Amino acid sequence: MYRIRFHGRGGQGMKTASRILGTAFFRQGYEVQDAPRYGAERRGAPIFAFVRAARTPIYERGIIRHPDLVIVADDTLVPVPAAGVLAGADAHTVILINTHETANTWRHRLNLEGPVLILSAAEEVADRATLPYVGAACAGAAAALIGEIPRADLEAALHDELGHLGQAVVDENLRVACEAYDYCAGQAGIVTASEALSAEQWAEPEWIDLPFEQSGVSAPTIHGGLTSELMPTGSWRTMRPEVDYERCNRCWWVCSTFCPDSAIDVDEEGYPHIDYNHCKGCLICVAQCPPHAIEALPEHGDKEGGES
Amino acid sequence: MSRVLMTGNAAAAWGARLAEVDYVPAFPITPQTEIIESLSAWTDSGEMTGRRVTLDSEHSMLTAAGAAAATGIRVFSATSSQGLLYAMEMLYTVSGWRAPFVLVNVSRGLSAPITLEPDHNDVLAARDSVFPADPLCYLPGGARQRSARLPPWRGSVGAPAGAGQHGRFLSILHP
Repeated sequence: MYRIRFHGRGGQGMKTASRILGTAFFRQGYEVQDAPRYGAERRGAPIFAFVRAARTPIYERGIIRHPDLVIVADDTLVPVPAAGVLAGADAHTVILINTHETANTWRHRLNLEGPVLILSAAEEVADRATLPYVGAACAGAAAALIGEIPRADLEAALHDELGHLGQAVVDENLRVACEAYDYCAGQAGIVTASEALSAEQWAEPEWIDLPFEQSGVSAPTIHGGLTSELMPTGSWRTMRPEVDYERCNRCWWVCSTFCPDSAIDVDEEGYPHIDYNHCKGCLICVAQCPPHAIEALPEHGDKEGGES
Repeated sequence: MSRVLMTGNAAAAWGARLAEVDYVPAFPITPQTEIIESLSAWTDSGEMTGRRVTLDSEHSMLTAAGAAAATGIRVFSATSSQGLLYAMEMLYTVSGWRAPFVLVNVSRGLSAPITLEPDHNDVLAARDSVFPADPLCYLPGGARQRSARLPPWRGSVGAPAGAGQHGRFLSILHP
């Protein structure tokens, strides 16, 4: 059975990538499961989707814990623990990262045993979540690396999944998916299937008895408070609000009150300061500021604004 | 016969479409939403002739479903999680009316805390309501759910039937 996991951010098309790959497998006669792992996903938040494919009926359910192939559409996810990019990866697991850095850099940085491949990152764009057609590129690359899916089936699957969006969308996605397919064709078959799990492999968990302790001792985070500060939700941001202090009229309250994440503090002089570790870039402050003193800038674009 | 890859939610919607249901009372809740969305699109485009109505709650939805079924027409609806619990009073009421209709429950965990994860506690809460008529309705593949949708109307069951599917991993799965 093949087990493939796609990691990306909300908006990058990981669910679509899993559906395209699933449909391509299906066209080759495979039994298929594909599903995004839903939760509180939203634009920019970490998301993953997975595909199982086998020649026999698939009885496994739930998320993939031991992937044969991990595809990372956005390399900023790798150090985010909640994204679980490397969960269950071992020497058998092929890891494909969409990045500007080299495979060796990632191999050494993450101390990986298995093969690491690079999908040359699409040119930097202003809005990271709209990295053009990265989902199609991921699906195309996966299809090639598995080595069981002819290019024609990839193309047909892409038609099946995106046809309702119109020919122009299909054409552009096809171009990107096929480019990625050809780019990875030299490594066709590097991803190999692993055994289906069977009940016979089940082993009793090694239970660890924990002594009863007061909650403050056994689970200090329950009453710890402020744990949301530990979550760097600033990485979800695709657009960044910036305060023009020349224009700010020191109203003391509007932006900081409307900020849904309490990421704006006001100093003693009445100037707001944005906590970029936690600002998700919703831009409500931009919309609310009476003198229009807060500007929205692309997170990964030209700092001075430029084209946006 | 050709094999088609579809999600569990799509299969459930196709089941209702192929059964030519007359009435679909609805209230949105994740993760069954795609079922009602599909039926809405088909009724809007005229591909389905049944009437789809949005109600103010799952409680009203189930009341409407039971009342409509009592007139002898084919009724279909779907819900999940807290929605099934909101309908719980009527779930146990309409089952006594002996008026057959189909309610799909796409299982999802219950509050609190709010969760989108799949588990079966919603349908277990309805265990003795007649609705989860057959635990085998938890089918291994959504494609086979189509046949599961049909028997409650076709046979002389004389009671509402529920059909469950495992939320998240089936409803959005290509099974």
